[in-house]
Amino acid sequence: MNFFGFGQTADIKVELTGSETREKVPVKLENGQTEKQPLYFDGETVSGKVHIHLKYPGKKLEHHGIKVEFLGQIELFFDRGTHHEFSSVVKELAPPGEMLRNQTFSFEFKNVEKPYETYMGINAKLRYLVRVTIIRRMSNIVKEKDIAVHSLASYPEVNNRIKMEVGIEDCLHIEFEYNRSKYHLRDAIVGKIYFLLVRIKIKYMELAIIRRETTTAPGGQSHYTENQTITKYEIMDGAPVKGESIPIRLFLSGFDLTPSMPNVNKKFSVKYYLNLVLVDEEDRRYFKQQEIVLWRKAQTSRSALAATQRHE
Amino acid sequence: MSQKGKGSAAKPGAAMSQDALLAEASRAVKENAFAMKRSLDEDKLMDALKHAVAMLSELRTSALQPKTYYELYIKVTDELSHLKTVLEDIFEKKGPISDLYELVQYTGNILPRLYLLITVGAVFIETNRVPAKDVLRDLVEMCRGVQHPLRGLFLRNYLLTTVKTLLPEEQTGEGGTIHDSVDFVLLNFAEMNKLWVRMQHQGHSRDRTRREKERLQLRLLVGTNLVRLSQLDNADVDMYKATVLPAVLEQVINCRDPIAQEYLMECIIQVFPDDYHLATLDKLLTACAPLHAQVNVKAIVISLVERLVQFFSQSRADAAATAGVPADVDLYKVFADNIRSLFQARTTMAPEDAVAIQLALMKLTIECYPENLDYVDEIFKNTIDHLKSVGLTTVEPRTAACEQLSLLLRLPLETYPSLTPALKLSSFGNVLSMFSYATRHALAVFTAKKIADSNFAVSTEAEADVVFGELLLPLLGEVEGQPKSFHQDGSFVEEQVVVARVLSLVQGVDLDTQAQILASLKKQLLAGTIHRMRYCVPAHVFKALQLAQGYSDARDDDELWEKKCSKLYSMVRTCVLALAEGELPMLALKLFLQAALVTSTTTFAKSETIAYEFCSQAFSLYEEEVSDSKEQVAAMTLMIGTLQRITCFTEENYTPLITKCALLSSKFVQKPDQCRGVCACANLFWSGKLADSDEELRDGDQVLKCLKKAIKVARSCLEPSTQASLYADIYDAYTSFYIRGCEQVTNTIKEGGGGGVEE
Repeated sequence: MNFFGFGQTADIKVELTGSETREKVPVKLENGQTEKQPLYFDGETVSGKVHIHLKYPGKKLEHHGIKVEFLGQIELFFDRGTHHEFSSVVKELAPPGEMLRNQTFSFEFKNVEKPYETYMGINAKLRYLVRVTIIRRMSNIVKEKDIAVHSLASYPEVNNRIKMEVGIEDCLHIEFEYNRSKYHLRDAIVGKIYFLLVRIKIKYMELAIIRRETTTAPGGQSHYTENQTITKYEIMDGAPVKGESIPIRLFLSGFDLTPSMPNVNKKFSVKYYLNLVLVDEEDRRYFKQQEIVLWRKAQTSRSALAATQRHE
Repeated sequence: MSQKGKGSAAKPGAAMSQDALLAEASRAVKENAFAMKRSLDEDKLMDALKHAVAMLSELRTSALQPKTYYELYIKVTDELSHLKTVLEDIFEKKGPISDLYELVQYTGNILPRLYLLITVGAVFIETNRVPAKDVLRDLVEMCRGVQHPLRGLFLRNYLLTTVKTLLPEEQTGEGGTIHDSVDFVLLNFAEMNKLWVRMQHQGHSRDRTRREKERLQLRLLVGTNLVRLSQLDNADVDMYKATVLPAVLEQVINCRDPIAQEYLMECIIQVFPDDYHLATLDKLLTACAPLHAQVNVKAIVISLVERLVQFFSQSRADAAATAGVPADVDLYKVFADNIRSLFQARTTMAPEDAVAIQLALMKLTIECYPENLDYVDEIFKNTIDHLKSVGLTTVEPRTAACEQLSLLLRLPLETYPSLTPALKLSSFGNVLSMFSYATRHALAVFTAKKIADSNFAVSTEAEADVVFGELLLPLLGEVEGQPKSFHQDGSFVEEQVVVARVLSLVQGVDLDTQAQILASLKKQLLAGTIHRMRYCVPAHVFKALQLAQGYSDARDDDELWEKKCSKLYSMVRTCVLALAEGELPMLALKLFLQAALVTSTTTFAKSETIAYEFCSQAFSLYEEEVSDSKEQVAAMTLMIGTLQRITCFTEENYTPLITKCALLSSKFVQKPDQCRGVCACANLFWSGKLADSDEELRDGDQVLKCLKKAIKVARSCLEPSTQASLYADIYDAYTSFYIRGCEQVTNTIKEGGGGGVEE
């Protein structure tokens, strides 16, 4: 009917329940821009209304049914276009028929499972969306609405400090200590570097946070690994001598971090490393990487948090 | 640990001059500061912070030398204070920006981050948002991240100056107490000192001189910490003793760096109050021993001592001041003990430095314990012991050690108005014996003048031993190293005159003591050369005679006085004979006559014999040794005068003597002398007195004989004017005898004795 542009068509608008009050978080899009998306957590009901607005009032819209889906998808860079759906719930809003006027449908995905966190990486993307489809003979009318999902974790049961002595024989021996091995995203890394032996002329020392994203090709044969330096943080200027202890305190909340994701649907993983780098006067670099686990903690009052961090 | 990469160490700006580098950096600072202020005006705090970071990044340079870096630092911190003011304003008006402390910590580079953190931290403290102690502790700890000495020193200096007025000084308080403040400054100090010391060991060894110069330029930054500690209101002496000083000293000692140790010790001494030093003397001094061998410990100890000396003398001058020499601490002992262990620990110390330290201690001792001479004595003893222990038995003249040692000796002499205390010092002589002749001699002259000027009377044997046996020895007797021609020295006579004055001042507490002193002096004097005797012996003889008179005056109190007198006279005889043998006949003659005169006044059994002996000695000297005619006349005049005054002779002794006088007078070479001589002798026959009578001799015949002889001689005189004057003299004599009632003379006058005069 709308073959030549005359047929009836419709605008779909998805309105999520409580969108006014719900927290929105920025999510990076493919085109480099950021979009604020409403934030949901695992098990939370996703409900709302679908408004279908006919373009030409009075004309009827034939369809083969209207459905709403809740989807969780993973898209890998080398396999673009293929969306691996790890989660899919479909609800029928209307049986096949005709629409004569604008109509609003309510939908509800009760306690829907959202096992992973929204992730926009280099080679992997994980998104959740609500998709409304008006099924038609020729071309469906589709509307997608992205939502952001944060997966909260509880306090890790074991959270040992990381303490290690490393060195190059007769050249440099240091002992580093990070107060934990698992940090939540608004945490601060507190630690110290203790110099046991220094025979090189160190220029400076920095701590880098590295995100390692590993994607697995279908079938599990090949892996692609991307290392991404989130930040470089100078923690020492100048050459220490034996016996010096250099403090570390790095607040995490200012950086674009996600929780560590060991295995997302066998498709990809995201890990974080602290890379301690010492650079000597000849610009040689000495480094040691140490994995840390990042987790997302349910948000509490911000200022109270800052206060506790400061005193740790 | 893994390693990778090797790049070339780029040194940007190495070729540029310091001025050019500074100009460039300053321009960047100015631009960024301008942008920062504009953002602040527009209420864009985040942008302002970004510009502040850019501005602060200029301080990350490694190309600037300390002086230039300092200029840049001043520029940057000036601008930073603007940011601080604005932040305070915002906090005041709109309440705190709670995230700010965290926000600035996202700065990637550590140096700008810490400068910002300090600035923000200060604002938080100032607006009472967080307990000061937590912020202070955090800041001072975080600053450890800057290990580059120059940048670290300035950063920590910024920290100290920024929170300077914000340190809690209360005894209790939620924001922190004085203890927190002390800990804070101490930690900052320790870290700064480490950085400062480290500068010494970085870079090429060929740059050492330059590096040391640079370090000296930076020392104030380190010292400021100590100044701040001294200014903390509630940091009392107990806290200083228990916390501050031990911590500071620990740093000083452990850094093992001569420049730092020297400066910091000096700094401690200068910045903290005197009563603090008094309470911690032992600690402070003990700390000197382990200092680096190159450290000038002498200067440190002296500076401490002088500070205390000044303090005491001031508090003495200011009568209202309650502070004085503490009663519970024996300052001398503390110093002495520590100095002793200091010497033991520092065997390489130059002897002059060791002596200089003792000299300082001496000043302190005299200032604090003027009464306690044992201390002074002990200082001498310790000094000698130390010098000997380092193998120094004599100090060469014109060396520093000699200079210091002389000063050490002079100090007590100069200080005490009376010499009595100084002479009780038994070690004095030991110190003296360290010197070579020239120095001892100079010291002796100094002492002699001091004694003479103060009219000090040597009054006991012990004193005499010290004064003549030690102090003045180089002026009295043979001392090793004395040059042969010492008596030709320009000042020799002057010196000896002073010695003679000292001798003439000798006044024993009682007669016997005086006798003892003189007896021992005699030995010493006679052992010397004639050049000295000439000046000293007369003084000694007069003292001896005076004493004899003294015995005589007190004859009722002392049964043995006669014996003592004869002993004295015998001593006098020996002394005068020594002079005579030394070819000083005139002097000896005069002294014999003087002795005779005195003897005659001290009447006792042997006095006549003794007086006669003196007179006969005088006569024999006259005859044998006095050959010059003028001297003969002078001597004879003296002899005549003496004999006339002596009243102890019997006729048996007297007559030969006066007859001899007349005889000798008539043998003068010159006629006028003969004439006048016999006239004078005439008097002897008339007014001379004998021991057994109160009457004068009144031997008119002899008188006339003499006068006639005089006329005879006058007559034989060829020169009319001389003759006239002689006649006048004779006429005078005649007249005088006439007045005195000499009949014979009266007759002669009648007979025309005046004939000659008429002629």
